[in-house]
Amino acid sequence: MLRGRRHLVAGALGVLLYVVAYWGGINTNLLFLMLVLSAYTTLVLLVGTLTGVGAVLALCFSLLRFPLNIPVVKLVEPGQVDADERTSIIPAGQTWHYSFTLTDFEKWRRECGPLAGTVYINGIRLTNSTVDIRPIGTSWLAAPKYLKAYSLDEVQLTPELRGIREFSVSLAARDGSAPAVRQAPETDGVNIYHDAVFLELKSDRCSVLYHALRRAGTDLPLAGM
Amino acid sequence: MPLPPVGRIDEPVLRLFRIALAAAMVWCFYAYVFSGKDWEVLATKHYWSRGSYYGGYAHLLAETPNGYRTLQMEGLPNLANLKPLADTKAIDVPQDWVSGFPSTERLLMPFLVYLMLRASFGWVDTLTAFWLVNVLMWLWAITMAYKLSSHFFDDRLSPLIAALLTAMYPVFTLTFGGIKGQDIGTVYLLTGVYLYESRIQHLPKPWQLMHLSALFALGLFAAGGWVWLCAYICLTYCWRAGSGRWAAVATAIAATILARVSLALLTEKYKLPSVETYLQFSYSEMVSDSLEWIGAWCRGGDISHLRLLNYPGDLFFRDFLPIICSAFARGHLALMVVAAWAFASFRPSRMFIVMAVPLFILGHSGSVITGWRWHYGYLSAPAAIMLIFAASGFLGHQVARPELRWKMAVFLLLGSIVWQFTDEKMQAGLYWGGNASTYAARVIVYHEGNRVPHIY
Repeated sequence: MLRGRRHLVAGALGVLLYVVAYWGGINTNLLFLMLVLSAYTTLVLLVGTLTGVGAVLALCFSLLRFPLNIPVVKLVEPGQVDADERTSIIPAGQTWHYSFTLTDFEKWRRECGPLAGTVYINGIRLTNSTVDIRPIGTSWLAAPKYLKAYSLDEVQLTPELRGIREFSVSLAARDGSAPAVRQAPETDGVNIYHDAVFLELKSDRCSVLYHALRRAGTDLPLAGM
Repeated sequence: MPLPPVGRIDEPVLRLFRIALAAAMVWCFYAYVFSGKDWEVLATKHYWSRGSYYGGYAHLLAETPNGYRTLQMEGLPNLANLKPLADTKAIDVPQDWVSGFPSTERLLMPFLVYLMLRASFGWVDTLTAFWLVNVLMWLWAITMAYKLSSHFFDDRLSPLIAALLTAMYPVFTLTFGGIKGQDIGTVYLLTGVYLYESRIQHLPKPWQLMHLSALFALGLFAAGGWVWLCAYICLTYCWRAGSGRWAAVATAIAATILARVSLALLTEKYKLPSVETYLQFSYSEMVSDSLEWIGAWCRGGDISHLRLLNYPGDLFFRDFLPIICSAFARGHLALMVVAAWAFASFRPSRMFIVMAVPLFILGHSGSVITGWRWHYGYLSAPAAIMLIFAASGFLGHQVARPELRWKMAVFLLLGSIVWQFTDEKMQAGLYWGGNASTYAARVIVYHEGNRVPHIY
C-alpha cells in the first residue's frame, strides 16, 4: 500500500488525469469520468509502488482517450408484430397450422406418470377465431367440450390424446373479425417459434412442452359440430 | 462454553480442503458456468403463468453466432447503457441517454462489460463479454472471501471454507448466463469490506475520506452495494471498542454524502433515471405515511387505507416479512444452524452474525421502494455473506481440535450447507419469488425440427 508522499503523488496524478481529460477536451463524458476516476482511486489502494500507479494511470487514460466501438448486438422482433400487445393478426381467408408430434411420449409417461395435455393459444380477440384440432377433427366456434377459456386473451384446449401422437392445430378468422396471436421470443438455435401456440403435457412431476412452427394456408377449417 | 485451544491443523486436512475447493470450482464450471442456462429467462418462461409468459418475460431476440438468444426484458438496459459509456463528448438529449428500469443503479455492470470489451481488443462479442464478466466476478468474490477470512481468523482453514461456500453460493451460480448483473452488489460489498479492513481504515482521515468517497461513488451503481458497505462500516464500529471509532463513522458518512452529491449533480446534468422517480416513490412521503400508520395502530384505529413502509394495511407484516424471512431460512437453513452454534460458542464469529440482521433488512429495503411482495435472492446475499464468514471461522476453528468427532462434525455441517446451496431448482425458486417449489417440476421442451429436447 502507498504511504506518505507516494500517496500524495498518486492523488495528484488522479487530479491531473481529470483536468487533462475534461478541460483538455479529451473526454467530457462526466459520468464515464466519474466511473474511471473512482476506479483509479480504488485501484491505487491495491498497488504499492509508483510504477503500479503509473500503470493504472496509463490504463485509465487510455480508457478516456480512445473510445470503443461497442460491438452491436442485433435485436430482432419475434415474428411480425402488427398490432398492439405484440400480436400478429390472422389475415382474413388465411388459416394458420401448427403440427405437434408427441416425441418420446411413452418415455415421459413412464418417467413422469399419467400426462394430461393442454393446447395453449395466447393472443387477443381469440374468441373470434375458429380452432380446429386434428385428428380429433372437430371444428368449433367455442365448442365447450374442448374449450377451457382462461381469459379473453387465452384459449386452453384439452384434447384427448388416446393413441394420438401427431395432430395439428389450425386457426382461422371468422368474417369481420381480427383475432391476433401473441408474438414472443421462443427460440431454438436458428428457428424462432414466435406464435404463442404450444402444447403442454403435464403430470405431478413433469411438464413436457412442444413448440411448433406456423404454416399459413388458405384452406378453410372443417364445418361446425 | 469456553473457547477451546486452537490446535495445529494437519497438513492432510488442509490439503483435503484445498482439493475440495478446487473440485467445487471445477464442478461449478461444469454445472453452471458452461451449462448455457440463463435462469433470468428460464425462470419466467416455463414456470410462470402459461397464459402470459410464452417466450419468457422478454420481447426481443438477440442474434448470436450460434443462432438466436432470448434476452430478459430487465437486462436490456445494461445492454443499451454500454453506449453512454462509450461516448466521449457531451450529449444533446440527456433524456435519451442512460435509460431503462433499473439502469443507473446497475451501471457498474455495463462499465465492467465495457472494460472487458476493451481488454479483449474486440475478440469477444458483447453478450460473451457479459458472461465473462459474470465468471470473473464469481472468481473475484471467491478471492475476496478467502482474503477477508484470512484477515479475520487466525487459522489456515477458515479462508478455504469461506472460499468454498462463496463459490457455491446461489447468487453467483444462478446468474452466470444472465445480463442483469444482480450479483454485482455482493461482489462490491466483498471488495469494499476487504479494501476497508485491509487498507482504508489504516490511512489518515483525509485519505480515508477520498478513498471511501470513490468507493461509494462506484457503489452507487452497484445494485445498492453502497448502502450495505456504509452500513457495514458504521455498524462494525459500534461493535468494536477503542478510540477513534466515531471519527471513522463520521468519515464514512461524509464520504457517502460526497458520493451522493456527485451523483445528484450528474443526475441533474444527464437526467439519469432512478428507480424512485420511475416508481414515483418519495422517502419523505413513506416516512410520514408510516408514522401515520403507527399512530393509527397505537390508537387501535383503522389501518387498511394507510401504508407502512410502502405496503398498504398490514401487508408488510402479513405478506412481505413472512415471504423474505421464510425464503431466507429455507435457502440457508444449514448455514443458519452453523451460525447459531458459532454465536453460542465462538466469539470471533459473533460480529458477523450480528451484522447479518441489519444487512438483511437493508438488503430488502430495495423491495420496500417497489412495494412488491417478492423475495429476490441477491437482496438476501449481504446477510448470507456475513453468515458465511461466521460459519467459516467457526468451522475452521473446530477442525483444529484434536478429537476426530469435531472433524467429522465439520465435514457433516459443511456438506449440509453445500448440499443446500447446490439444490439448484429450490434455490432458483427462492431467488425469484421466495417459493422453493416453483421450479420443482422437471421441464422437457421440444421444438419442431429438433428431436433433442432441452431438459431442465
